[in-house]
Amino acid sequence: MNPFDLPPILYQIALALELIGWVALLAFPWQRWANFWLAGVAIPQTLALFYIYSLITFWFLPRHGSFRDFLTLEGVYRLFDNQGLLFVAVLNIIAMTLAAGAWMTRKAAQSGMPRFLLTICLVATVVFPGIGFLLFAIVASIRGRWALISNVEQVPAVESQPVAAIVAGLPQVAK
Amino acid sequence: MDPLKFPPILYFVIMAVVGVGWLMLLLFPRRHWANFWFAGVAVPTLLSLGYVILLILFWFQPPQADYGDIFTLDGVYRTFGNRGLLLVAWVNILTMDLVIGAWMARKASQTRMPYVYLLPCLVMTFIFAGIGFTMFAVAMAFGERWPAIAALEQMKGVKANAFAIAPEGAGKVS
Repeated sequence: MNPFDLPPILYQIALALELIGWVALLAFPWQRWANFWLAGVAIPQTLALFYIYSLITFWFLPRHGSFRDFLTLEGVYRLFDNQGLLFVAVLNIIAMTLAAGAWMTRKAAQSGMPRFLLTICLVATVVFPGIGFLLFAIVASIRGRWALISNVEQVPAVESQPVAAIVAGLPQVAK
Repeated sequence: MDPLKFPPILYFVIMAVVGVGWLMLLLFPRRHWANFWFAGVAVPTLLSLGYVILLILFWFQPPQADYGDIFTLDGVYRTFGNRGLLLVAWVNILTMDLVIGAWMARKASQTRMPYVYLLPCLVMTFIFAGIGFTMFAVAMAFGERWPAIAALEQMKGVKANAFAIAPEGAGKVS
């Protein structure tokens, strides 16, 4: 085996981890352990550790990475001659797409989006992420869901449960 | 005319678009128009639109893509021999990194994480997303902010602005 090749098993482990995240999102979209802790934090974070490991070990191997390569599309392709760096790019796609998919699921839960619409967006995101995000943006435009999402994305956090705390804090606001 | 001549030029256009998104995020990390509407919704949606157009235009160009190729690293490399599809993958990376960067900025704003900790996370997410995301997770863990984020990520959205409806509810409570 060429020492500059990545063991194929690592690639399969990464894809399997990603798959677990997506299955959890599709099967339990309204459960917080699935749409936040597992698919939104734990699995993207594990894939990010693979990413860091692969980046550090392969960046300096031939043909080694260079920041200049980011400046042109041909440079990006040259970068991917290095299998480890190609793996890093794939990890970037699957980890960040899963994190974005988990975010979409949470916002669907928070804005009362029907499950079948969310499922369509999620499946599209797994296959072609750009199409899935576009579908989500369109679905969220219906019935003012973007406004609801906008709301939950700017309310400040409070010590205890947010909704209870807003109510508790109200008398002071009223004064 | 060879359509595969366009991706190298489009690369600069796309980098410029995503660069504006990141610039706004770095300059106005606590402004809702920047960290949600602009960097979190508008620019990623625009990039996704570019993604879809590029995907349709270049999927059938030689070397013709095969979806089964994504299951091995060699297959992925073969797919990227088509520069149009390489650009599609690059747009995918840029879009999702910006979505997550904007989300990080919003959570930092909502949990009052100091900007000095957020800034390096954002810069690293732009350059190497895996490192930036990990730095953010660590910074959030040190500040014990994860439970607050978990609570924010499950509260129900309300129709009007939460602050605007607050006084009405207040009377009933007291």
